[in-house]
Amino acid sequence: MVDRSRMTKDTRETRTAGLRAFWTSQVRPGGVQKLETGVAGFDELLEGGLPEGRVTLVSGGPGCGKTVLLNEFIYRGARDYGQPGVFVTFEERPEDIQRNLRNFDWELDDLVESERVAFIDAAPHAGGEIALGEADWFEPMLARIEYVVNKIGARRLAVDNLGAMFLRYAGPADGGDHYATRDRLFRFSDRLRDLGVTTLISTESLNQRSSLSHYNVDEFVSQGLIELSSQGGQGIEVRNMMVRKLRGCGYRSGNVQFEITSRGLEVFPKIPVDTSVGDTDFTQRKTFGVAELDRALGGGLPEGHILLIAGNTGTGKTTLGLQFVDHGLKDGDSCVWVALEEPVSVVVRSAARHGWNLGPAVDEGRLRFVTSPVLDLMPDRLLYHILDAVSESGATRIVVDSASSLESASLDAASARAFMLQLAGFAKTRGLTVVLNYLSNEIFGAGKGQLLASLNSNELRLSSIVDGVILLRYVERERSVQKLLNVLKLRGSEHDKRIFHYEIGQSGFVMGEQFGDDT
Amino acid sequence: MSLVEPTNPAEPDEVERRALRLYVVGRTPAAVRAIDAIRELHQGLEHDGWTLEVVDVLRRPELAEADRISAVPALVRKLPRPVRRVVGDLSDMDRVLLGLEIRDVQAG
Repeated sequence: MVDRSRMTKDTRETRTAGLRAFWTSQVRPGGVQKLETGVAGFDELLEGGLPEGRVTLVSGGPGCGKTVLLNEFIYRGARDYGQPGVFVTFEERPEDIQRNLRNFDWELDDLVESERVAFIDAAPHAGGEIALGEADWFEPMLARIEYVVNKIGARRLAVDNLGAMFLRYAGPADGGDHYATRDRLFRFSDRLRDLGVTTLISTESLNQRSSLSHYNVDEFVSQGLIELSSQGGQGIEVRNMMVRKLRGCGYRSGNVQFEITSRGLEVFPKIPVDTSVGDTDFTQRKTFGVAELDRALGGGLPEGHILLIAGNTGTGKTTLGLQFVDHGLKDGDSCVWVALEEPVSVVVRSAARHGWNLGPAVDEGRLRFVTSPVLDLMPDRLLYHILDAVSESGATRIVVDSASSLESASLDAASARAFMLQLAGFAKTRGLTVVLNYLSNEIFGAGKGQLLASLNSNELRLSSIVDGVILLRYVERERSVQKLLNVLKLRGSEHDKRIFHYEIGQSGFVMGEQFGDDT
Repeated sequence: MSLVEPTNPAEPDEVERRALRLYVVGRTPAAVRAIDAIRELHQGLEHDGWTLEVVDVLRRPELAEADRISAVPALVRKLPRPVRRVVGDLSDMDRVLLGLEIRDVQAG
């Protein structure tokens, strides 16, 4: 796992800048302006932030992270943007919320003390409250909100959770007549908009007890709707977020993952897919330092290429990847190693056996390791950890060992493929050269069709994502097992199509004779 | 936790021991009905030392914030503590008196 505490503001900005290039929307003068929230990854998802001065609804079941999102929206605004914020709570007491928030590395208390964050307590009264017939919560709540917003000069407002209010004071106007209820909700959000603050309102999603769904939330929230959901994984809760609507504004569509850590929310928007090789500079090559192999590749791996090294267990995929890294380091490149198969210590020891001392490069920050639990592997999170490691180290070479362990993790083939596509897209835009190790099921294969068949039948259809393929395989000849290597494919570049013998020696790969019909 | 400390000079002094406050919004029919009903109720309590204030939330939102009024009409027994609240239809005098435990206070 990337050490998050070492992630600087610069890293985040670099990452944002990288994604910003893909934003389809533009904020035009006179159009809807965006308010940067400061919630990690959320602004990228929203292509800049929430529509300023508008009301956006956050819908989701219990425990989905609505309250945390709303809290962090207020907290980041007050702490990082000089924008005071008001948090209205209809369910939990402010004391309880503040107590829960102490689990985060936030300094909320000072902000409350200095009135840069204010809570409006509209939770059920501890001592109870007798409700007789119909009561109006609409006007008094708006009056209180307006009063506190003006008092502290708030720019941000969060209302958690509006549905609870409809349950508590359901009179004929709320419970009976849907048209009147919808009208009420619409007017409530309309009046909040009049305050000129950027607002998030949370509510329980469909099929929840205090759901507003039967009031047709979509209709009342004419401006914006973000849905949160979560599913239980093998060991963790897998959380998802989707922007359903953001009127007048661009945003990234589709389901994205997010997690809640001690730092707050982190959203992982999808990396745009772009597999064009239009601007690959084929004169720039990344070499392995294995003369015969580099020659077979036409001088090395073209910069910005994604290479798949496919082979069975023991054929030396990891060794070849390590050699690529070690040679890169000696060439002055920085590298990222994504260790999904073996612990980092094992990888470092394997390298040392070949005389490749990786320690100094790690100390200098030129070599970064990224790991991930194989159970409940969150591809979006892993991708962002790789991005961060690349940004921090300035790496130009990435090795993923191995891509096949993504499949064996609790990841379906489509997700694994989406991950590869995104990684490839990111690598292309940054000109990064990537080696993906892939464990093939075929053990023996004298004819190349045998291994090729398993690649093609693979649901990942990796060969269409990658720019190059190197096959490593065993062949049984003269009562011994020999190893063979060939460059199966190298997009846009001449390469040697012959099959070669190779051995793994003390100093790494040693290329041998061409494999011929006579041997 | 409330941000706003009541600064109203009319804030009931603890020594008064018995204080009611009615919150309404504007001059809506519901507000007028509530005010009429509670004034009538208060007439029967005045000689026992109960005070009554009527507060329009729109004019004094800071008081509504301090008293955490989330719906109106709301009648609050500010003193003696603990605070008791009744919201909604305040026309049934018996239910209001029961809800605010006013007879318990009288008896106590």
